[in-house]
Amino acid sequence: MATATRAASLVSIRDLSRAEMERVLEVAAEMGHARSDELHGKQVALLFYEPSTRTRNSFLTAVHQMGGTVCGFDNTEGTSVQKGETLHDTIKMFEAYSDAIVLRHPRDGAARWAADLSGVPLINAGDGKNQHPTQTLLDLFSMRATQGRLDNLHVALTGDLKYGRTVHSLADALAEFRGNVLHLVAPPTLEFPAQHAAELRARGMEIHQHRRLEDIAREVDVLYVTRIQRERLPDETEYEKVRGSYRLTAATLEGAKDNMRVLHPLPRVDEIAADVDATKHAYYFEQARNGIPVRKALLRLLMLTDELAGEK
Amino acid sequence: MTTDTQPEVDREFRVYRIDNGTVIDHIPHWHAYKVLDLLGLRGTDSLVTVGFGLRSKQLGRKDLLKIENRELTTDEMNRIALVAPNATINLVRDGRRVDKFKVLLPDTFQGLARCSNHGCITRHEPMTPCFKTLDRHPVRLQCHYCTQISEGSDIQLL
Repeated sequence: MATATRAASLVSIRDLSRAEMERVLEVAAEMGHARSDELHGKQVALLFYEPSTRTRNSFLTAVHQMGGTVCGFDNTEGTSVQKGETLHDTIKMFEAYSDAIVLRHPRDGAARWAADLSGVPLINAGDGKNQHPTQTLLDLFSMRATQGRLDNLHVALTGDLKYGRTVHSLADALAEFRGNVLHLVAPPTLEFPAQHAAELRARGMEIHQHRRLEDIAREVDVLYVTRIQRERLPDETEYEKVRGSYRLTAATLEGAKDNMRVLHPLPRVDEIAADVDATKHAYYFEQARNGIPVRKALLRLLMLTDELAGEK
Repeated sequence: MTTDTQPEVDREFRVYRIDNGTVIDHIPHWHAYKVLDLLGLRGTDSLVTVGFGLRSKQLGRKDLLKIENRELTTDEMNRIALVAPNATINLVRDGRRVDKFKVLLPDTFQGLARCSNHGCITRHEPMTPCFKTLDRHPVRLQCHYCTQISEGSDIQLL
């Protein structure tokens, strides 16, 4: 539970109101990739208990572009964690060394626990299969950059909709805006959880289910593709079948709207064919690049202002 | 103390009266063992009378416990609310019932149960689980940390 000294933190996308999300995106657009010294004399602890390429390096780049320094670790090898140190003790130690903590941890709920303990702002960079709010914010930033708005969009989510934390958080965030229509495209074994879909409908969101990408590719403004992990499917035959049917190619995109953009949280394996990269619809590499201004905005808002109150 | 459907004389033969202690009524049928366990009463010297399958207007069949010379703490009553959300607590002193109330699970609470998500941080750190009560009848709990919802047999008492 909350302690008296707890700082404003970002643990879940549900912690942010629509106005707060828009404020993050507005500051991110204003900051862009420009350098500053606003974090001069300040240190950010990057505590990554699990491997990460984009998230860790975009935070690292963000801190450097703002003139700050970093400490921490990018895997637990050689750290006290390997000797059995608890997350509690690691957080208490790093709050003394730093002005903010960025945490990625394999256990669900680790970020909430750490935020409850920390006297400095804590940003969740992914906790188990639970939440990854900074990814959601950069997804929203990318949608606004390509569509000019976050209301009245037709967004298709495809791939692993059952276990994928990015699609769950993104759906929650889109429900905060008006008139968005969600198209869910997944095999029966990896369908979006029914209870979650019911919650979104209760919040006024229109949701449609589809089995084939071809059925929807020409109607949507955003096609958000995620990776299907082999271990999520019952056997190799099922995996091969599903993998083939949910693979996006340039041919699938023929006749798509001009403004339609393909997003992917990356890494991709083969769910987006290389021939899509050359189409005007491919946006996933720019999307990854958008991680830097969005994370800079969060560092500024959480470390230097009190604009993000934390939990709603 | 009377059960809701049986006359006083009949009841006296089924469940003995106590002079001092606690009577826990309206326990769902076959859940008395769970309440005994969560109060740590099995294998102790405590004098406990158990009634199984008593008739009840509210529950059809119910269980009942009488514990001599013991009054329950708030924490113990909250634990009872997890397995017997309709339970009534009767406090008996000098042969008279001096208080009667229903158990009520708090809106939020710490401890008492384990999160049903095996990947939850509370299963891997020396820390106290913490829950939000979503529903009381039947009990539905949400983990404060991982937000997993536990209900029915998923709810494991600590």
